[in-house]
Amino acid sequence: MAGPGTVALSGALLFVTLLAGPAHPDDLADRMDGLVARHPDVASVEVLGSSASGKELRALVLALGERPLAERQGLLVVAGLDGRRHSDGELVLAAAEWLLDGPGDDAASGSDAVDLAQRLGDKILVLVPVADPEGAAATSGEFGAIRALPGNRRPDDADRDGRIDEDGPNDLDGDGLITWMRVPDGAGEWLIDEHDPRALRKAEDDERGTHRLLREGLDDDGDGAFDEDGGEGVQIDRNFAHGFKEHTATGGTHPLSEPETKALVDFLLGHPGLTSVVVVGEDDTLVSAPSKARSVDRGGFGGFRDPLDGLLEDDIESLAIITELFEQAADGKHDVKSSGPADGSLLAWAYHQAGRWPLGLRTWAPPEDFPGDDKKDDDKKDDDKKDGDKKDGDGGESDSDEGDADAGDADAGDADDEGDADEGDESDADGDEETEDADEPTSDPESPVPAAVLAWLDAERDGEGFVPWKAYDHPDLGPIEIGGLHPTLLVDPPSEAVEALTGRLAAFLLAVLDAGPVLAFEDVELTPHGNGLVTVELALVNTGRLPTAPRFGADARIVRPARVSLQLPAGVQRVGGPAQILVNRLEGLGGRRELRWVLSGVTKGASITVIVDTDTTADLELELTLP
Amino acid sequence: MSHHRRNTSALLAVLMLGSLVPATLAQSTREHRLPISWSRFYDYDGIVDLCRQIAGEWPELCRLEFIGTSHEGRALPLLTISNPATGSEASKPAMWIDGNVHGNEVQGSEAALYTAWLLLERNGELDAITSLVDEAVFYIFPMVNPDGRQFWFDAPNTASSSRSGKRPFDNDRDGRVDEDGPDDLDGDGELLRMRKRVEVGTGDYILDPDDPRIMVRVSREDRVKLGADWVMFGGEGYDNDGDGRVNEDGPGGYDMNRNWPAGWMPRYVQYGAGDYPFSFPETAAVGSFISQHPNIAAVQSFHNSGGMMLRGPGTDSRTDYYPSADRSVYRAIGEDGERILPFYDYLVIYDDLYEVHGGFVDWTAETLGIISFTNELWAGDQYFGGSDTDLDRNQQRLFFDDHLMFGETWVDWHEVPHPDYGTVEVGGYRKMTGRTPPAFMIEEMLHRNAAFCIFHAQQMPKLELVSLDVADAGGGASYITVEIRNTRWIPTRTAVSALKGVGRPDIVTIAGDDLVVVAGGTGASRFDLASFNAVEHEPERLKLDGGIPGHGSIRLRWVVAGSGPFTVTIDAEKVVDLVVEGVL
Repeated sequence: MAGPGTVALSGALLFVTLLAGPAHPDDLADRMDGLVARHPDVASVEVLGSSASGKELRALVLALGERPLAERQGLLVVAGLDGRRHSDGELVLAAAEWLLDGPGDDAASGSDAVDLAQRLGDKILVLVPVADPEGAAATSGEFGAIRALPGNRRPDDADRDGRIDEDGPNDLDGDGLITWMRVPDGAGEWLIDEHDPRALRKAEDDERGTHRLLREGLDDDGDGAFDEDGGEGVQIDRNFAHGFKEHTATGGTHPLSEPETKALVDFLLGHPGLTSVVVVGEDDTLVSAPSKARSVDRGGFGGFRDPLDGLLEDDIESLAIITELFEQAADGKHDVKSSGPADGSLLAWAYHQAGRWPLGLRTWAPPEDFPGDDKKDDDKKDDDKKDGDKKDGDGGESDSDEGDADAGDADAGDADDEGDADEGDESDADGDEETEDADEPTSDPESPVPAAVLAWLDAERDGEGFVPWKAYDHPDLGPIEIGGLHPTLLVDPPSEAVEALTGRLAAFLLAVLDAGPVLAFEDVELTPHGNGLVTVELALVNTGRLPTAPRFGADARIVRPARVSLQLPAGVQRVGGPAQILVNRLEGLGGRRELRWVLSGVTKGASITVIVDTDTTADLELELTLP
Repeated sequence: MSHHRRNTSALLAVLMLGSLVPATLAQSTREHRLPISWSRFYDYDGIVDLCRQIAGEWPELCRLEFIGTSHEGRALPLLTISNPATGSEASKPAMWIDGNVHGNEVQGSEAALYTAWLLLERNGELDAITSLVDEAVFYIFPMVNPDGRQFWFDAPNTASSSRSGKRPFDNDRDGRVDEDGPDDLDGDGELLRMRKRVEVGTGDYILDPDDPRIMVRVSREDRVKLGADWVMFGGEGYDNDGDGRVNEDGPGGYDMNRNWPAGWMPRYVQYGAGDYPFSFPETAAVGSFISQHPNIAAVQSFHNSGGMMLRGPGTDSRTDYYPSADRSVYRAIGEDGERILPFYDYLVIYDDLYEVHGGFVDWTAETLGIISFTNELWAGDQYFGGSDTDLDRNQQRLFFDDHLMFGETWVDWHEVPHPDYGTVEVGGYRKMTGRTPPAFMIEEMLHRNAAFCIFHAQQMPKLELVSLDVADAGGGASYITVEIRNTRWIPTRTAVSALKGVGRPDIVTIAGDDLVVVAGGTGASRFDLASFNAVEHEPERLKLDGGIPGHGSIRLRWVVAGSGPFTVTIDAEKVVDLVVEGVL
């Protein structure tokens, strides 16, 4: 593998600017191939499956040696479950480059290169940077104008009118982007922001709206609705089986109806040693703790009578250890909060149905405060400390897909998707109200064109990312304006956010590998009783930092217990103690299980072997010479 | 003004031909065109052979295809019965009939095939059947779980074992799969019960003094008093893997009727669920086929046993999937079903049986909006035709074995060495009794259940024109009013379909070369021509999410300008389209 000196690529050079458009998934695939070519001893590409149209779901596998991956422990890292989130996939790949090529001159963390071979050992890292290759291609412009829909483009009849994908968005102004139409309408719910006429905000209860906001397009099928059946397809990260919502247009016909989701799940089920699933995307479990299950109904055949709507307390405590690892992984702070894991998401499935640690990393959220607004920043920090105000499954409820005439309206659309990170900040706004100057500018986080985001673009990127409103004579709507933010701007993190996290993510992945459970035998005692009788006593101990399994995965009988058994030489018989002991779970840092057997027919010097067979740690064998 | 029903003209011709056929022979004296013994059960190869015979005998009406492969590599046969002379398959409502998702519940396969055979044998002879073959499609899938079926035939089993498929599964979570199943200790080909005599007063059973074949359980406080001297160990087997437990990880170990995606729950809530919906090749094949056939309007899935016609939901949390309009359809079919199938009750799964997450008919009813039943074939009451024998259940079964089966279904207790328990006695009923009828009663079971399927299929929607009226609306405009009736119990769209947004609404289009549609809508008043629920957009293409109710009608009205011929088309997923032609 590459030593620290073989720096080949600098992460920063690879980040494309927003205006150049996001990287096409093929570019990431090329970068993966480059890594494999440079580091053939540790890196390889495995194709987990492919999308409906045959786009590959590629995984970069980092593993040393020839042992089958299915027998090893490690992490699965997934990004791009929402195809619009290109930068998340770039981050994952940049982290892999950081690990393999070294941090590079420009790496923000400034950390030294790691000895990956030493840190990896027998463990593995599997990284899937683009889990929705169809959606990623669509938002890279492969299929025409770039639009902000998150699905995998499976053809469907979203408005159930017997016609497939007949009314998608239209690039009316021919700029290659599907932006927004602001339509003067006294029945609309939007107002032009008085402080920034480029921005819109929702009318308050005591105000009357002046505009409707619709996604750029025509009523192609003449049914009165705009862009209501536009080939969005299925949202990958709402198609997993925990909390799956039946009968939604964008969740899929059934759990794992999509080749992308099924490929990920089949891979994880076939690799029980991938004990953590890291999802870089919409949900966070690393900055703030996910919510606790509200009711836990234990019993029944399999341990629980109902699925949980949150995590077990023990597991939240374990996640706090992982959060600490994340904080320690690099200098500085990353505090982008979110809710999660959302219903129907990979992260939720990983915890609730596969018994893995659900590690959600949200890289960025669009700014809600104006640049330089320190007071608000302080408030936000205070608010961050509050717990329990999380809303789960937000993304699942934000579907713009009910097929009704309002489907194109901004309030039912993507603006909601961006809202998750911001639950805490709504109370912020309330809190500020008393002291707020009526003339002080505010920003509506639900708006697809929020004032604070425009201010940020002005301050940080010369306003790039905003398409100025232009008059347009619409065939159905009359004189309107077309403009607004670049379609993926509110979703796809900016390159600097990714850059800042590359070293942290890389170091964090190694830290999670290091913190995994490790089994050892301690306190071995062999007591001869004469007549060939010997008592064997020892303890199986988890010396690693994390438990051998999440509490839920163990109690719901998802994670296979460690199986301890004896291998005895001919003539030696087990006369006390069971043939096998199943150890369901051991806590980290010393969780132990005492083991005791009585053997007969022992001749001095005979050796026996205690064997531990397990999925979540390396197997263990101890040979004992009997007294 | 004239109109006609385009799609029924071919049918009328067939019906007229039918009337020229000489009076049919009664079934009891009739020579079957394809003689099949219906007083026995067939293994996998036997069922496939019957499928080939049936499709081979009626190639113009019946097609055999294989829609997938089981875990062990058995092809999954599907028969399609459809008369191409009366329209394409996709244009007609269809009924799906399957059986044997549980490997041991074998008779569902024969019941499905008997239905196919009956339809084809009597087509052209009996009008009720001929019209069904002409108007409907049948997808008949005899074996959802052929691996479980074949294992039930081949291996020592009980009436209840081999329910699962054969994909190995680690039921006891010890890292080894299928390592401790039942064992045929004495190699007699049967899996029976095990009992052992112990010291008097230390057991929990005594032998019935009138019939020592019967074990009588003794309550704890009476054990010493009654001298209980027998214990029972459950099914024949030993502790193969030395973990202290017997028969805890047998072949397979899952339930494919918990693997469907309606209210599916993972294994920690629902035994046998599988890793995710459609995770087995058999369920995936069925799921794919049914999802691609939106014309399916009726479903029957045969199981055993208990004598039930069940409908969903499988859990009380899903009762909202059965709105009252749909419940009335189920009731109408279920109530006549109880007459067709004496000893069977029309019941609701969660309420009358037990809770099921991810059941098949829950999926077809709740996710796909299809009126779906699952029959539990064969009821214990049938052994004695419901007559009072003055015998208790155990005595009845043994009496039946002694005097009607001549000892064929019972194996007397006999001593067998056991690796863990010393000498034990094994004995009990052979697998072909209890959940399946004796041979001489099989055919009646098949016929009555086929008749129930036919009755169910006869309720699939069918449209007819009630009236087409044109009236002057003034100013050069006209009213066109069309009333359409569904003459069957099952609506063109079930209420749950409208409620949950399942499938495509029925679409009614009106078109004419010289026709401008100004307004249109449903709910047209019979008397006030100006009164109807005008839609805002696309009046020439009305979408009826609620469909046309069973034994109900809808009245549609358009305001049009222009003149000349026009056509109104009702295009629905689960009914033969109706085309009405008129002239302004």
